[in-house]
Amino acid sequence: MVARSRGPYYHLSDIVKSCSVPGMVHVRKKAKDDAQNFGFETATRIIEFISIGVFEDIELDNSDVLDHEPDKGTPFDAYIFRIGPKHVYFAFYKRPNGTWIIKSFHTPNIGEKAPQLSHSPFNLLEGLKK
Amino acid sequence: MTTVCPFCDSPNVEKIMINEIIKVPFCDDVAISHPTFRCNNCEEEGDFDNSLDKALTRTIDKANIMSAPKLMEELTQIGITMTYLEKALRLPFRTTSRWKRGKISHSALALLRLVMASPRLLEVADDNFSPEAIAKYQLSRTWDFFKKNTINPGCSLTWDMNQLDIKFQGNMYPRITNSPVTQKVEWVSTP
Repeated sequence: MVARSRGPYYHLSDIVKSCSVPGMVHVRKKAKDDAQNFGFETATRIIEFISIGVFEDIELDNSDVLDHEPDKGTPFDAYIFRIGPKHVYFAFYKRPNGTWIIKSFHTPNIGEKAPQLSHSPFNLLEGLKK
Repeated sequence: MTTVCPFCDSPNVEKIMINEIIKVPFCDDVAISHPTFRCNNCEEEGDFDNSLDKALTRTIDKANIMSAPKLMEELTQIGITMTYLEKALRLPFRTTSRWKRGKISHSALALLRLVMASPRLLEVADDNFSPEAIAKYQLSRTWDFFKKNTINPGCSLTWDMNQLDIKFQGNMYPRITNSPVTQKVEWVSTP
């Protein structure tokens, strides 16, 4: 997959390391709520998971700048990786004070990694043929 | 010390109580009430000073652990005794007595849930994970699926020399097809 913009702005390993330092990484409420779809019930669990630093099939999706205050103009990076069979869109940025903010943690909305909607349980059987 | 919002640096922050429903697999949902911070400037919420979330995580863990005795009771009700479970999984006997008293690890709880989700897995374990038991289990999963999702399910099996063909068929429930009449579906294994 080709990234949709320039970047990345940050080293992924930097946020991973910061996850081991209490108070260095915060998770936006929307990202925390979305992460429940992946079995993460609290921000602590999300941060613990990222601190392991193991992201299957990770690819940079896009890098851009925030268009909302208070950090308008701050660059962010967004990656897509896999947790088991599910893909995750994961975006974060670093605030001027050095803390990291996880702004997104949800299923990809667009592209080949976006989930295919299935209304029939019989579509599952196609997977059994393989 | 004043707590400030980590998202916008505003000191206009208050501590509020949040009511949440925690989903516990195979058991009733658990309602918990816990404190969190709310920023009145940017409207973000969360554990701003890193003092609340760990306690919440512990509460959720405890709610899950507390579900073990009920899960074991349900397994017994569907015919899986704890003695059989211990024997099939090669666990030391009376291990589940400790689980029942709440002395259960997260991995043991996960194991109980897997057995509850697919009780036939125990037959595979009981047969020491033999290829035959695994094949039987895999076929039974598809059969269970058809039994659950179709009317008049059927299965046929033919073999000719080295070629094995398996066919499952049934009529789909109208609620799945959104059609007033049932629709026939079948699944044939690919050689």
